[in-house]
Amino acid sequence: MTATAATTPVAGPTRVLRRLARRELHSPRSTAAILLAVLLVLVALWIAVETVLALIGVRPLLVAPGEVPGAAASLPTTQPVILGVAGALVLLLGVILIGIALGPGRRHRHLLSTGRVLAVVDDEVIASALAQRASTTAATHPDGTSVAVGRRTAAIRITPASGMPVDRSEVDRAVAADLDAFGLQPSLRATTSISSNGKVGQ
Amino acid sequence: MNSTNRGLNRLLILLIGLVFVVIGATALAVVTVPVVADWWRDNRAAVLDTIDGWFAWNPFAVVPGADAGQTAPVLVPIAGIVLLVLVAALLISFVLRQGRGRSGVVHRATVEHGDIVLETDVAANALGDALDDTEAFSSVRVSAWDVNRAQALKVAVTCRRGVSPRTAVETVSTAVESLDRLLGVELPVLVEVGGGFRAAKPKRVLQ
Repeated sequence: MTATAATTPVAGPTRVLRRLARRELHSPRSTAAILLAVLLVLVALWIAVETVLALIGVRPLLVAPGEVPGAAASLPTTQPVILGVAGALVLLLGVILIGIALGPGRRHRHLLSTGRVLAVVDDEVIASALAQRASTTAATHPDGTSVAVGRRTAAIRITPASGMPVDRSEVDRAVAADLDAFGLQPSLRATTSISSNGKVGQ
Repeated sequence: MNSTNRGLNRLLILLIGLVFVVIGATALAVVTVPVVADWWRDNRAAVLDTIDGWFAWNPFAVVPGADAGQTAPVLVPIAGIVLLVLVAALLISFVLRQGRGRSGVVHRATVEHGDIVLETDVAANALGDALDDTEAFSSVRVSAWDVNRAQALKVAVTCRRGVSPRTAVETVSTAVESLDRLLGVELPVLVEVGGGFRAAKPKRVLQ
């Protein structure tokens, strides 16, 4: 094969890449799933052990399985407050789990497609680049610039040095031009706010 | 990029969440809703008897010739143990399947004189050499993953503070084009552009 040989594309890279990128934009929910699975395994094995102990007539580790229904059934009369509070907590935990299961689980990332590759960019990187641009344009100290990047918006806050006015529209224009050039999906809209109190000593 | 079954993850969380909601709501209702509390007080004994009946179920006790009435209720407990161990084994295999799918090979091809196997190290070293000296990156990691019986490359770069994400991705893209020419195949490449506490100024640059 010579160095100039035409490259042969592997079948359907874009379709595969789209799928991969979509997965990288969402949380796999592995932490919660693994945690619950491990807890379930422990509980299942514990019940199995208690059942074996009960069958061979050995003293239970914590409770004998045969006593559980009776003890649970008497809780409403013996421990109503504890049962109510525990019930509320379990209910809350259940609602949170359902939220984790059904929620979108978006990671703080944006897609960036260019030429040969598909990229997922951490919002942190976008924020860092915008902060750099904003502070250079405004001629303020980088420490006086903070950027918060959401899914569709980037909020830029500039604290100017005392007595050095900052041209907001100029920052807006420079940052918007940068965002345009980045070509992120979903696209970001920047809003700039200039703190009315300057900082001394920068 | 791993082969984790995300639907299964969510299904497990959903099922346990639903069980928790049912148990929690029942416990709460028994002590707070008078109607439910009254019903429970009147039917408690009957419910317990029913549950005891389940555990004592033993079809062999009525088989002619068996020790009718003398066989201890062991069938349900033993079946329960088997079921619990089975469930535990399934869950353990579920946990072990998380995060799999890394591949040591990026491409296989059959040519006239035999097979060609391109190992991941080839692509990783080539891309690493091309990108390691890049000022904008503080680290570059290349890995290959199995996707739909083919392979895809993941190039994870950590950017220094203030680097334009587009510039970063274009730098990687150029290196990947060189890799295409080197290998003679165009592998699907996903780039992950990240920051990091060493690379950015996290106190001021929030996300």
